[in-house]
Amino acid sequence: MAQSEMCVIGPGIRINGRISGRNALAVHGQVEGTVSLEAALRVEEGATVVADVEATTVVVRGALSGNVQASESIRIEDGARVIGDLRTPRLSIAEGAIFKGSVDMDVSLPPVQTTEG
Amino acid sequence: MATTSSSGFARTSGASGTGTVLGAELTVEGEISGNEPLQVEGTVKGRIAVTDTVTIGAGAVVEADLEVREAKVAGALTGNVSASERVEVGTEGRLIGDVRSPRLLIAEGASFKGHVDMDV
Repeated sequence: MAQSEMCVIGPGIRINGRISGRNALAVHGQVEGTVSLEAALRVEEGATVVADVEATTVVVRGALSGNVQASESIRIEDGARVIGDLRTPRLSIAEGAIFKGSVDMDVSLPPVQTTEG
Repeated sequence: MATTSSSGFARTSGASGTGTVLGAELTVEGEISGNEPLQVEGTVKGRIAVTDTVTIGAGAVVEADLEVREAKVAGALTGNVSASERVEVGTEGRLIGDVRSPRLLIAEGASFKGHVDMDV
């Protein structure tokens, strides 16, 4: 199976535990536990994810509670509700999204220019 | 789109094309519950309680107790199966565990080890 093939957790399914692997995953249902993917994760509208998440890219349109670490990017879209700390090099939060938590973009900021001395 | 899925069972016509699919490169450790069809192509360890059809695909490795309406086993399943309607073990299927179901179909070529209770 191609790594890019999207797996789906339907709205009527609830997973309690640990999900890991290399398939991209779209969650429409409920997930509680941890999600660790070497691929993309989508938390779709209506989905509820209570989990610490590790993925390449994370797109949230539903409810996500937990710390999120994305090696590429996190996109929080309109209507999403995210509670947790985010760690990623690229982050976008759309107007209409609700977010509570801290953000670490892990970028080395240019040194503060000081004029002293 | 082929009429036979990678699970080795023909897709039921009319069934929604989506449903839940856990791909070959996905591992779930824990409990999966719900009320819609579930297709496992990867690895599941724990428990599956779904009031619909659960398909264990040809390449899937499942170590879990199943409580389902219907179980279709085309891959490897280790665990006890309790089905309210039927259990089907396909030609390439491998089932180790006890089966409790009103109907049981074991295809030629399948391997099965366990007790059967057809609840009659």
